[in-house]
Amino acid sequence: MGKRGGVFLCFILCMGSHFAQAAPPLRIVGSSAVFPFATVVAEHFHYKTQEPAPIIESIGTGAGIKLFCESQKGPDGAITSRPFTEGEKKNCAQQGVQFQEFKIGQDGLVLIKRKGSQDFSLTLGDLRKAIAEDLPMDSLCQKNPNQTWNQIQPFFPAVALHIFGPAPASGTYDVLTEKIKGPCGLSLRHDGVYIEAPANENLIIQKVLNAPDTVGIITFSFYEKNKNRLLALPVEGITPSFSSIQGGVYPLSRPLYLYIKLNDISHHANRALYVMEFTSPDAVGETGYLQKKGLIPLPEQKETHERARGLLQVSSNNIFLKEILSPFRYAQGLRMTPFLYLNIKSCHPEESRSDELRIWDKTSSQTRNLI
Amino acid sequence: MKKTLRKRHRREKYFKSLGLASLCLALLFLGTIFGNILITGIPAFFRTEILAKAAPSDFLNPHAKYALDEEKKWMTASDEVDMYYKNDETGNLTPEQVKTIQSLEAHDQIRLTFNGAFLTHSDSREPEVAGIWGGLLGSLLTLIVTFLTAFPLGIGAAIYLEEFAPKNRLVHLIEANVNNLAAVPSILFGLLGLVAFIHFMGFPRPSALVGGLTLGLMSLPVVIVTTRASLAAVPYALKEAAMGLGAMPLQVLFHHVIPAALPGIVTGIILSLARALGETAPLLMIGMVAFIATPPSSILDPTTVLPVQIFNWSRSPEMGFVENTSGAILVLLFVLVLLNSIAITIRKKFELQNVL
Repeated sequence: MGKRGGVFLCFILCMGSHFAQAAPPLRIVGSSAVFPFATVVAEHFHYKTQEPAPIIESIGTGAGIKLFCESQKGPDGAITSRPFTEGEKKNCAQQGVQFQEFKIGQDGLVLIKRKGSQDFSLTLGDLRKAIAEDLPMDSLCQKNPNQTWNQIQPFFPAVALHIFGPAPASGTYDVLTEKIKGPCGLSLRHDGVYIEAPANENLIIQKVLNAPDTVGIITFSFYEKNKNRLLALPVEGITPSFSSIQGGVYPLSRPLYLYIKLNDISHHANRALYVMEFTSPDAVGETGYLQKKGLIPLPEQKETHERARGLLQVSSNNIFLKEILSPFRYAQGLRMTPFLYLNIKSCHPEESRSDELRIWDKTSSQTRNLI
Repeated sequence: MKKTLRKRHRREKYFKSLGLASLCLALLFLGTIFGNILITGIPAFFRTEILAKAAPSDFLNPHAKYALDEEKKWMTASDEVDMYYKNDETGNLTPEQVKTIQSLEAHDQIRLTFNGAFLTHSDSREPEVAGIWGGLLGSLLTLIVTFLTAFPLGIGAAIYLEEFAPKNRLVHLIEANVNNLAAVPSILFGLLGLVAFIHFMGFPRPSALVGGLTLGLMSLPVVIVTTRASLAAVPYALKEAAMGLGAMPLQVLFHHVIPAALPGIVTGIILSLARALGETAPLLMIGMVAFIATPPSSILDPTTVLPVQIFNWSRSPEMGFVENTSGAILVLLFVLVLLNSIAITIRKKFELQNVL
């Protein structure tokens, strides 16, 4: 039991009403940038808890938040690549939707070229000069005239500007425009220099691989997966890497969020379990499975996990807390069946006794002590 | 005289070769696309397995730890090992890992087997364990709803319009509109489905029911048009002969006209179902793009369909999904060919019956 914080557990047979009617799967909506991670967590959540795998919909940060705030029922969670704005919070409050925010990690935008082509380091200002619609010239905002890279900085290669990047309504696009925002507004070029690839980063990679002089803008997870074929351009002199993004040094990086609905939480312990899985060391730890998918953990991951555990305590005075068991199941090589169920009587650490974790093992039809 | 004849022959030859050339070009395109899909897709039906005892844990698929006790001898390897073993793509493997794979290979502890899980598993974010079962089942359920919507409504409307409707302005207007609807882009039917079934009627969102009804609406005009065409093609003499023998209009219809028109009707329906099976756009509109790892058990359950799953896979970053995408396309093509051959068989059968 040890660092699990000792939770007083007593066994109860699983014939209870909780499992007679399987809970509907969780529904999570939002950003395509968090989608790859949320879905992976959903699968591990399913294997560990034997709850149905949550349904994850990638509809964009803005649309996701709108749907999330629309009613107290609706989606159980929202995944976003930026925090809620004040307006969105107000909308949520008007509908009586309560939620809790979990920062789950960090993602970075990477400027890519084909491996073997000429690389150069650029600043955010250079990037703005390359893709912003309007630029300040002679104290006026004028259409961006740059057509080749060396028009921006003389030491850049003399090749035409061709940049593939995210399309509006994606969180990635929001972050990009936010990061390079100049005095002349947020919009990006529409004259064919900046080409939008709607929510398809593989397409951007294909384009970049086929033409050596094009530059693509993709998220770090995609870059990580195709590292052997791609070259990352340093921004402000900093190459995108695991450590530079985690430290917040790399300028084109952003945090990713999971928002979970608190309305009626006492009947939705699986919401808390999902957040716990998302923030667990198993997922975002040093060798977690999300790290392999390109998510960069935050230094404050432990605190976030503790908060998730707190949410579970609120939501589960009397639920089958199977999640707590999962590390033991692997450790002891127990059979992963839906028949291992536990009942948590109380989650207060004061009352906990670490020697009483017992489970009902249906395969051998008896209870046994786990520790 | 001879001169002009030669000229005419030459012209004929020229025209023939032009036709042959265009046919060859079309076949070339088809062959390239299909060959490409086949080459990339075939590896999806094979997967790399490692002897469980010998495998380092980071060589196994990420879900393997949940089944460690199942005493399986061989376990599915991770995506990266799979890619290396099949295509020699090093990916993110370190040189030491590559060496380990080579030593596994030398000891016969790694092998390639038929990937049955590709057909029996549902969607997953790990390409090595992902399968198409959920999507296939979803497509099937959706198709059943589509059939139940389009078949009775379409046939009924077509019979009424062709046989009973008075020939006035209103009916002409309706006919023109039905013909136009058959050519409306499918995404508009998605919009209609979104408003009618989800916002207005409040059906559960990514379910086979909504998807099927939407695709049903989409197939309806096509079913009406083809049914009407095959009804109209029944010779008038047949009807007159039946009526001359004292048959009631309804008897004429059900005993003579419909059996004669049946091959055409059935072909029309199956072809429109085949189109509905491959349709993605309207389903994206009604939100059937979700990641759903559990196969549906009823038409109200959250569902994804095969084309949408292919679309989702094509957007995934893992390299293993490239072959999975092509593999799923192959399965979809196979189902489509199956449906079309059923259509042909049925038509042949009914045509034969009518002759006898």
